[in-house]
Amino acid sequence: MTEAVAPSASHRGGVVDWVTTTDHKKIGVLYMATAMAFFVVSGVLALLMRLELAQPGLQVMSEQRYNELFTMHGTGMMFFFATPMVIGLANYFTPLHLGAPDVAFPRVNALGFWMSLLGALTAFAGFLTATGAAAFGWTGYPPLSNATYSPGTGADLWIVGLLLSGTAAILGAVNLVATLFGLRAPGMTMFRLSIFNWNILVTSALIMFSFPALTAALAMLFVDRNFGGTFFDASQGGDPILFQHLFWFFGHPEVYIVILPFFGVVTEIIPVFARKPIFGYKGFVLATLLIGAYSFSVWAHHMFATGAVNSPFFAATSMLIAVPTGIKFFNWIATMWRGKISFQSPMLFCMGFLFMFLIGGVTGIFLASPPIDFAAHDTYYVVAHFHYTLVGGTVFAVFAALYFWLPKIMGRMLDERLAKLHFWLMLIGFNLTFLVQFQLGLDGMQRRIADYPSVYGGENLLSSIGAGILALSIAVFVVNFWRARRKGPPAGDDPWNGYTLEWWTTSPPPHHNFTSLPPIRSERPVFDARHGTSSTEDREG
Amino acid sequence: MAEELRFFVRIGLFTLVAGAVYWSLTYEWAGTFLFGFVVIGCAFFAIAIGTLIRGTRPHPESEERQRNMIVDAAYRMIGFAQHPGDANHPPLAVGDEGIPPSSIWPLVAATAVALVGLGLVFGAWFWFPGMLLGAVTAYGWVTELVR
Repeated sequence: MTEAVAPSASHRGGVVDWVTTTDHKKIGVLYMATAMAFFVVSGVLALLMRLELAQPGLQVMSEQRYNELFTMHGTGMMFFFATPMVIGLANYFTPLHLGAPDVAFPRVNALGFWMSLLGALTAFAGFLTATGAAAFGWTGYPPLSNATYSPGTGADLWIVGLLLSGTAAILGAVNLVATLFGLRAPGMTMFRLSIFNWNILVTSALIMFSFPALTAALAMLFVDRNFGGTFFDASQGGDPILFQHLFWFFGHPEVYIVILPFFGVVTEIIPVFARKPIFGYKGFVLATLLIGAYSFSVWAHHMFATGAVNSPFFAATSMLIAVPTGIKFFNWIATMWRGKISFQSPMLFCMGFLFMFLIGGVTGIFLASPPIDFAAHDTYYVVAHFHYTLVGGTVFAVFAALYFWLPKIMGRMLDERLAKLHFWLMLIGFNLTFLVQFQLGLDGMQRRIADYPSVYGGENLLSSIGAGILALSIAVFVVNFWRARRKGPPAGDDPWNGYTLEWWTTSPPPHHNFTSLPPIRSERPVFDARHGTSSTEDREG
Repeated sequence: MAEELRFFVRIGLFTLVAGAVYWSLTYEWAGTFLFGFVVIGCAFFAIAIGTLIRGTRPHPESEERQRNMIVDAAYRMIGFAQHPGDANHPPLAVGDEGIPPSSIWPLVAATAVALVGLGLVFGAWFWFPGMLLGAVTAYGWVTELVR
């Protein structure tokens, strides 16, 4: 049993304070800053790819280098931007929403962050090796990823980096579940949790049950590459399809790992800017649980083209997952219905999220149909689809979260005009980049190629121009953030008239988060305390 | 049944049914094993949470009372000095006591693990210092906790 330890050294300033911190808020900020850094790095890789693809025959880089770029772009965005951003937001806001002073395991939390960062640096260190970074796609399928076809050190560094960051994600998830179950403030029953926290709970369960499959797949691949293993070597009795099963048993829940928390973010923001309570709180919870459970039964829709999976089973389960997602859309719209909506920047990004993610979701239902998937597999149609879900969904919601919560984190407001400029540039740039890619895919352009027939030239040029506008929009955000940090107007404790407990405390919150708590009788205790409204149970029965 | 317990029971039951249907349709081992892994994982967490609840609850109570008992146990287990208080008392109103202090060991531990990982790629030049650092970390982390 541990003794109560010496007073915190949190008052020490500078680098030492940050590298030794166990405060959930600082670790949350470290996660988010790291995630944004890798968002920029991976985004630059994407811009280089769009430069290469702007015109047919424009060889600004070798095909091998192009392969490295799309591999590390996907790896960086999925593993080192989206997942750490989820854990960063959860680190900062889960304890605040619970009325807790910290997370359950603060040191393990810090360990998770440092492993995640070192994992990311390890994977990207492949660019410093003589043979370059990993170049087999973020999915790492053997035999392309085995020692014969990918002999370089970069591939091994990619595997080790992902093992490190995957383990870090599991540590983070266990910590969050323990926090959600063990450190809720008095009165904060499970059905008074914020929807954000429900989504974090389900996401954490997905991480705990899906990342071990990735860890197993990567460990086996490493053994195959370096120690003479034959797990995935068909000529020695191994099975490369086994890797795909393991990878996608992780990979599809991973899509929900990086989108479910942002469903939560949007569900927190919309009621605040519609000045209404959430419509169908329990419906949201049920839909979140269903999406989480279904996500474990859809993995092989990524493998239809192998011909080695039961297509009807996976087509049915993949289409079913649209039902709980539809419930969420219905509830978001019903929450806004007859509300007093104000389109400030967080709400604008939520609107962008709703429309863009809807396009991503609907095109996903098409791809869940095996005959369509056979035709569209590995074409730009698939690229457009998953960018609509992951950029149109996750990235729009990331910025909604940042505009909503940065005033709480920094204590300063961002400039609203720059935020709106950011939104419109991003919306235009994003659609210009990816909408034309649906057509490119339907016209038959394959993905993961550095050059293409000239017939695809016009759409590719449009797509590259869109990518430039998209990059410009991110630059606007960086300027806005930098200005706000230095001379933004003070945010006050509750700039949005928020509903959940983070708005009860100061901006930024003190070391232990709260000096007092309001009575907690619903999922929006701050609103209740200020307006004397009824409990969730009273409203929903 | 506590909602925390129900959470894992529901996911586990759903996955059990989905896994059974999958096996009956495909007779495919890898996917069936993965479904089974989730079921076993859910069962593990359900048993752990059920045990924690039973261990901290002498007789049936209201959900809020049960939860406060779990919180009490959790706070004691992880070293927080005091319960955050009930609705009538401010939580942790007095300063910094009890919260784990800053520590260099998480960073050192992560470095050790990363060095061991790099050692698998580059050999003993990384692997050996990583193991050494891991041993130092284990000592430092534990002695910091019991100091």
